[in-house]
Amino acid sequence: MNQLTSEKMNRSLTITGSSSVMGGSYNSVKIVGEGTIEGDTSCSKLKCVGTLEVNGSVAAERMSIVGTCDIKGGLQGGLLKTSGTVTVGGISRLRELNLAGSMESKDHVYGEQIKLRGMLQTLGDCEAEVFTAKGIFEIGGLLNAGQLDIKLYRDCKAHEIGGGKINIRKASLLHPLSLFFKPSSSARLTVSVMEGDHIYLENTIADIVRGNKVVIGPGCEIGLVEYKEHFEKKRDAVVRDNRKV
Amino acid sequence: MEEELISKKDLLELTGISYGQLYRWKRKNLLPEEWFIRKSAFTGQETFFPKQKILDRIDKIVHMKDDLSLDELADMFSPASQAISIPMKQLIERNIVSLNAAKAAEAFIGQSELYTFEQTLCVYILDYCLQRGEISLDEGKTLIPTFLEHYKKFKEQQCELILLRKMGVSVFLLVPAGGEIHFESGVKIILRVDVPGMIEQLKLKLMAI
Repeated sequence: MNQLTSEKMNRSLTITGSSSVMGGSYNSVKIVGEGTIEGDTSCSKLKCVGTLEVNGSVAAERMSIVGTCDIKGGLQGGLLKTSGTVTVGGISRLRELNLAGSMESKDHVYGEQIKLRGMLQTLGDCEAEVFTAKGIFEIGGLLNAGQLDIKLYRDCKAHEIGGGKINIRKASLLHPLSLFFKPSSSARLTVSVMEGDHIYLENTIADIVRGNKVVIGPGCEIGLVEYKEHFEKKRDAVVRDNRKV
Repeated sequence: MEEELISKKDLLELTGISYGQLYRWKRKNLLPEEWFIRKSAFTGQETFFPKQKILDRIDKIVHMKDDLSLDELADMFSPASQAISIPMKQLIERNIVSLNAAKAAEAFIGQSELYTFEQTLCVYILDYCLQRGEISLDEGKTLIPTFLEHYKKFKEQQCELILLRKMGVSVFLLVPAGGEIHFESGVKIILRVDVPGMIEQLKLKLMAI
């Protein structure tokens, strides 16, 4: 019995070409070509070059997606690296997300560290201790991060933003990456409410910004700023109202 | 039973914590999502909290965060069962539950030496109800099977245990927390037990072991 389960844990799944299999627990899963997994799957390593569709949830310690991966259920695990497209139907709970491609989530996304160089779209909230973005994002709910570093390449959107240190700047045109991925100079971040301890903003459109120390840089249009200790408005910024509380 | 609410701004002012801390605790699940109540105000949407609950919780976090890590705290506040089993003898010796409650429960749970967290919780709640003096031991005996049978169905959702009495007949209910319930006239609510609150207390007591 014991041997059976250990064998089961150690088996690997490889799909080359086109195939459909049942879910279960595997050691490693590798898809080259086109694969469909029916049911919940857990594995230590998942690699997909091509197309993978999972009709269930996925738990994986390491995931690397180069092609397309469509997970109907939730996603749980350690590291997710993608330069392709990942779609998740349920809640994603990962330690580290390294998104060079795009990720679309119909629910919340939780991570310790989120590094975004592509696109992230969620209908729910997005939480991380450290959120670094040099790409595009659209967060339907709350973007909550301890440290938020955003370089605006294209228009970004979040319903609400909350956190400790919030740093939003427009992307530099001199960056080597900007040769491939040219930042648009009119890129804006739109958010209804932003709250944090230390806030620095550029090119941001917000209704309300609340914080301890708030610096509003060029290109901003803010309805109301509420601050505790420090408030500074640079030139080329519009702040309709500010209040010390 | 309209709960008194407090706005986020007033909360921060009253407790002296910062936005960063508030959001950090939310990320660590120290503050449950259900407590973030969004309401429209004249400045747009604002977030409100149930006043008593959030003040209690923040007080606990502030006082305990030096001794425990945030993850340990989150574990304590979460309604999830802990994966532990405890010998009943120890629970009685440490005065976590009374002998009476333990004896009443024994008939349902069996003479097993080790109790799971859920079983312990059940005995703990029974003990609490008995100590309050509002239920009889016989009523307590119907509480145990009700709780053991149905509590798992709530999974990790917050729930409440309610005891009703009408014309001397008592009924136990387990309902999702936060919902409003209305009864026909003549029904008396004897007890309302907030289960997540009990879990928190119990975990705190168990941690001392």
